[in-house]
Amino acid sequence: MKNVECNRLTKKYGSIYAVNDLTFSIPENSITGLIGRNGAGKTTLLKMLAGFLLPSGGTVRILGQNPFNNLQVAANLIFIDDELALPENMNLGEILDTAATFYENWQPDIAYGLLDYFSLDLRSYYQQLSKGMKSTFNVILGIAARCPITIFDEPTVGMDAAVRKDFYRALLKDYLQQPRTIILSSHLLGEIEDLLDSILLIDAGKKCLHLSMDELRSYAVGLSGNSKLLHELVKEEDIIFRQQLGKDKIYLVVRNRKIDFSAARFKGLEIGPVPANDLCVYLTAKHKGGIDDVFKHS
Amino acid sequence: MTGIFAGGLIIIIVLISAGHFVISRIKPSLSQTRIFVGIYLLLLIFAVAAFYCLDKTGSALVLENRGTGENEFQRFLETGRVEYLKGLRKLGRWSFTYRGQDLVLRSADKEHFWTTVVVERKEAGDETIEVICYTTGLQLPETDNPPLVKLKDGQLLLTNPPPVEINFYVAGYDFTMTQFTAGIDANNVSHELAQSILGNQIVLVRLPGHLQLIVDETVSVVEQK
Amino acid sequence: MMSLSTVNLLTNARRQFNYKLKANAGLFVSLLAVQMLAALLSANGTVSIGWGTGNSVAYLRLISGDVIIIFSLLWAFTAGLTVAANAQRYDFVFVTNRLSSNLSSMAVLFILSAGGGVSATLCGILLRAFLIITKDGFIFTNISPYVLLIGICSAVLYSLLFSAVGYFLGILAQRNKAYAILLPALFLGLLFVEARSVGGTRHILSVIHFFIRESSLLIFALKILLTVALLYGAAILIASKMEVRQ
Repeated sequence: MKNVECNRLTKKYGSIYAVNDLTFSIPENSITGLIGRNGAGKTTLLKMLAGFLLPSGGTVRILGQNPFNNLQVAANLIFIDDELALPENMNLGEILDTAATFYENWQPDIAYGLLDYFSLDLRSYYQQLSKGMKSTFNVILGIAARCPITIFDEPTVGMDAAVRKDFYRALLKDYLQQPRTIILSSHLLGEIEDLLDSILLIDAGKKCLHLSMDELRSYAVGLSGNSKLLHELVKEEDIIFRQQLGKDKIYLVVRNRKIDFSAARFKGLEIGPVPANDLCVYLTAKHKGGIDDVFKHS
Repeated sequence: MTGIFAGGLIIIIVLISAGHFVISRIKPSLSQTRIFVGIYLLLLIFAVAAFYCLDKTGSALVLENRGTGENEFQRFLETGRVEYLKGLRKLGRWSFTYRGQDLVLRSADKEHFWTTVVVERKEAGDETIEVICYTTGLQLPETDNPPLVKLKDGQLLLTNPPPVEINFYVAGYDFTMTQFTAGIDANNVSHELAQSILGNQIVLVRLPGHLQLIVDETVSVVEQK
Repeated sequence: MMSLSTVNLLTNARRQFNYKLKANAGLFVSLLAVQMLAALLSANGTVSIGWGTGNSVAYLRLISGDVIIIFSLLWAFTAGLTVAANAQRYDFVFVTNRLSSNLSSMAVLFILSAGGGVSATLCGILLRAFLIITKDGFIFTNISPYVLLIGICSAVLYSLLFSAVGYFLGILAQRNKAYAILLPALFLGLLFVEARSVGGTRHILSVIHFFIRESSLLIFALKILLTVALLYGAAILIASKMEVRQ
């Protein structure tokens, strides 16, 4: 069963497409990374999944139902972003107790345990927390709620590296105890790469890629060597990224298909894997040469 | 009328915006809220209990005594007959022996003497001047406040009593109550009530019949025959 | 497969009610402040009538809870606005849909209105009791428990009306911010036109008279409840297609 399904999903603000013709589905019990640059439409997409926004076109189905204004979907979905609108007069303990009344699978031990681990005081107030501590509290809510659909939109804003690492570990641990459908958005793949089953890469509201992590890792290869030789070997449309290394030396990232690796090695070209994070950056870049293109003609 | 109404509404709107601004900045925590609300509730319950237990007999007496002698006073005004005044409450009474042939009636200071003076003649042989001050007002410590009367060098000197300010509080209904309990509205009787607190006063001067009376312009006199 | 939760609308609305009553509890404190301020303003009498003879003067000062009740009604209006604004923010952190959010807001406003109406009337009694104890020269009009009960009921009903109007406007303003300016402007404009025209039809006045000239508490209650139902119904309709957290 597909827990999340989008079909030709579009969201338009005026004449600008925040989300443009997205079709994808996410199976149950998986962790999916939603990757894209700032302004790629990640938040808009996630808010449509959570039923906060109405699509301008296409359909969303969460657990087989339209999530907008849908109580059954809401009961099984939690949406965590970097700043939750929580009441200013309730302390963290009171908020956790409230959350417990709403979510059937709520895990108080995990909630209090994590709160204690991250040194958050039950008696402190959300609005008085620092940015990073707010994010920490948000993700604790998201983990402890154990909703079948759990959405984190840029959850680690403001957290320091150690806390981020702990969060990913906590998320993974809890996921293993109680598998569910988790969507995690980020503009960087690097840190969450090991956590994910699959990634959905979007750019300017459109889908770039939706692959499992294994597929992603073998999606492209990096080749470096003599520019002339290289261009003979690969087709122009397969080139994802190009970087001039020396006078005749060039580095290319190309789609991994129909490349004669033995011939390449024979010709003295270097072949290597492309880090997933770099690949995402290259795929969503406007120019195949990256920032170098800007300086090319000057 | 509608203009005032519109003006009032604008004030209300300003009040709402100002109030909303303040209210949205009051952010007490839940536990503080519980304490505040708890204390306030206790206070209200206590106040209601006190309100229904308080001794209110004093105010009932005030209401009963209201308007005593008012009818007699009105009859006196209509007929000019002094005997109607006899039943009124006496605020003060003075009596002087005087053998002179004429008497000047005047205010002791330059100020006008506020209370109307009624002059009554007695038979010729009597050598006493009697001054009586009557009132229809309520009998209260504040209203026990007669003018000052002196006889000196052939002059009857009248001094206004020291000024008194009396405050009465009338607990009426709220508009939410009057709307559904027509007819028992305390707010409507207040004007009459205000009048009856101080009531009317008169100073009766009883003079020997033969006495020549010279009235100064500072005193208003009604002569009785 | 993780088991899915199913939730009943009313169950969820009840959970939300508990949550929102806490989240909006600060309103009770502002109510308290508003009533204390109004009581202070009323302590010297709302109307005073003076009668003088000679150089003495007697003042009759009318004590009533009118100012306290009017202030509390204005509070009820802003409470409606506040609950509407907070619903948009606080509700969607946890499980909700539009109907559940509106139902729980209504329940919260019912409790707030009841608290506002009861405490406003009792605060008037507090004022009277305070004056009886502290001031001499008190002419007392008894408020029988029956009249007190009538006062409480009608104050609660008025509060319900004011809070529902506030809530409706609050929801409307979320739909489009322009309404927040447009509606009060329209209201004031109409009021001025009505104030200047003599003998013309006076819609706003007749709306006000519809409520304040009703002398039967039962019919008054029906009028209020019907109006409140219309306002909440309209709010639910307006809200059902609204997006969240733009």
